[in-house]
Amino acid sequence: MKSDCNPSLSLRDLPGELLAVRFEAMASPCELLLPQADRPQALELGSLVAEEAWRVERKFSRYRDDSVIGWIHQRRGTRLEVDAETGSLLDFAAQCYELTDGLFDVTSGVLRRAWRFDGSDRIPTDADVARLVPLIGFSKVRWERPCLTLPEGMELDFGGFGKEYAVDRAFDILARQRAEPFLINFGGDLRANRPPHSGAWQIGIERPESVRQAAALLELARGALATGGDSHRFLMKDGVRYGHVLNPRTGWPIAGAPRSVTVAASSCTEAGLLATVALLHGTSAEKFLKMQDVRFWILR
Amino acid sequence: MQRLKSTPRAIRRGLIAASCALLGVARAKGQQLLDPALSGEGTPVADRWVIGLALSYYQEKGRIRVIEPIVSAVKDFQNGQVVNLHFSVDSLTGASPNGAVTSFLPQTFAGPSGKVTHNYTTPPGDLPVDPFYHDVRIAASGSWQLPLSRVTSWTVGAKVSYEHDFLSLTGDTSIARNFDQDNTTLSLGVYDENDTIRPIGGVPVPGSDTSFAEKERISNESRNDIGALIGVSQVMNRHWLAQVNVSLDRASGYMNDPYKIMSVVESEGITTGYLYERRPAQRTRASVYVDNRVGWQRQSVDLSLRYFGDDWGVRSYTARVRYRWWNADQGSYWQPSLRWYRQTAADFYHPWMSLAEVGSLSSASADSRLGAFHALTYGLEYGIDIGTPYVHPKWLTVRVQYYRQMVDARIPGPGALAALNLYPGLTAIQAQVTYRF
Repeated sequence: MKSDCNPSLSLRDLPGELLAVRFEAMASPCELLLPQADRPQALELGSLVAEEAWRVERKFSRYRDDSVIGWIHQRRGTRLEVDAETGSLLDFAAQCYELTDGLFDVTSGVLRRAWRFDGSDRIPTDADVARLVPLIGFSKVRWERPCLTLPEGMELDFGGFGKEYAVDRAFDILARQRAEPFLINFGGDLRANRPPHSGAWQIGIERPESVRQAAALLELARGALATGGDSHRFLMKDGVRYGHVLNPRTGWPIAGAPRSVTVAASSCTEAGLLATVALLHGTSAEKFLKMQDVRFWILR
Repeated sequence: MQRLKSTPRAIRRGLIAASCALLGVARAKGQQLLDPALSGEGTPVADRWVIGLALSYYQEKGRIRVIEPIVSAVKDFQNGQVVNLHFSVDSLTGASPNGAVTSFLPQTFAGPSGKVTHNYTTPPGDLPVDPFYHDVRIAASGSWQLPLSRVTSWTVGAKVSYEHDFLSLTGDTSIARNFDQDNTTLSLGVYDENDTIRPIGGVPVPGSDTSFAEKERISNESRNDIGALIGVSQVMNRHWLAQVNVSLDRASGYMNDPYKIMSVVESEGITTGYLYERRPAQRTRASVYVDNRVGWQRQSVDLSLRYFGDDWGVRSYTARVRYRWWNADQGSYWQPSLRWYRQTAADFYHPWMSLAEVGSLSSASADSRLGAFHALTYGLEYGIDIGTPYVHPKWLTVRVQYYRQMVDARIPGPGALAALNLYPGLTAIQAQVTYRF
């Protein structure tokens, strides 16, 4: 396959006069799909999308010391003034925390200190987990826009909606440039502006056991799809599978969480949030999504 | 103690509001975020006709009643085109002031009723009203907006309004362009309206005596009105949308109400006769309208001010405030509103004419709509989405308004009229139920 001059972007011809611009961001394969576009145009639009994905990743990654999150983590206990975009994300996190009665919590990332989902059988002890639970709770964070104080020992992580947010941001940028159909896909979280002339976008949902084989093929005209699930991240011990969806109130994996939840909504952020919160509802995931009046697909 | 298990509940509306705020939907479609339910015509849903059915009921105390079914349809096509259609039928019955002043003696008038002329008598002390007023108005309008580029759109529209004695045809066109990443919209529009007035029994000669004017009637008259409008709307920030409109128009032709008369009153207060009104044959009007909408998560406030002035001497000032409280979980809102209005009288407005003035006034009208008054309108609206939010909304709205008009610049009547209340004012209620799906 032809690789273009920009080393981080690749251009591929797909069947049906479809061009795909591909790149890596946020530890996921990302692509922009353009029907009936020419190659220079595709590269130009693709770099707009990639730049935005990389920007969001650079700015909010919890793995980078030079990100806003890194900066906040280095100044725990201090009152900090944050920029407008970070402020909007914190507002959003606060509203999600409130809407879900604390089930969706951007401070629950500290649990990673005890849980490492590497496919092994290393289950933490009750004591390990119990030590971390007091460090969770968005209500303990002092957030009065634009000032934030993150208490000692706590962590912030926008990973729960960062990728979906990046999709929506890139979508907005591209929608200003292009009226013809396009689809942005960041690691399975995607959004399309309108259907291609051939009818609808065909989207495969991964089967949890297999990365290669699609379990379901969906048709999407426009709007967003986001998928949450634990297809690759789990622990197995004594025949029990521990999924990576952790209850912020107990510190333990949610019992009976579906393998994967896909939700269709108008924005990717909305779809992603609903999928994640559905997973957090465990055995009640279907019941929860039915109440939201959205299209969804659950694999158990 | 925190609950360890969560009970599923509907969070989608709250989540939509939160993600709209996060993603700055206001930047592109400020108005829709600030006023997510319906700002008049509603949010068009792409590729689907949004149909509105409404029934409006209007009742003035002791006077006119209007019942009006309305059908509207909007479609936002995938290619960016928007088509708007509107159809309504008003049925108007009741009593309408004929322009004559109240007297301490009974007064007898001849007025049109259906296609014939009838007589009616107003008792002493009452404002003369034509009790047989009846009219049916059919109105249809349509507009077509088409994108010329990503930031420019062009709209053409037409409107027809028909009554058995009146026909109005209007054509309009406008162009709108977005600037500054869609934060600013500038629009320019022009329109041309042509009216034909064909009163029952013919058009009376303006200023003529109602007793002797029959022979000089002609069958119809016409009027032309051309106007232009410039508008700027500006997203000030995520929560604030501002809009300024300036309009100018000029009408010429037959400007009278052919059924409105005025009393000739001598110094003792006795009405000695009635003349048909006579208004200038031209009118130039200008207005400035400023609207500010400020929206938060669950609330929005809309404050608008309007100034209007014309070369007839009418100046009017309108201030309206609307507050919307939006219950995101239930998909419903409450919207109380208050409107204050005040106008000055036209230079040629005279509640009656003295004997000395007959023949000396080039223009004269006793139509109370051209007099000085102020008015307050109190409104309450409730809307609820009984469909699927944002995907297939179905809005049911109920609006109730109470209107109270008080006459200003009350010139005391001469002689015996001084003891009578010549300016009773007006109160009215309006109720409307709308279903949009």
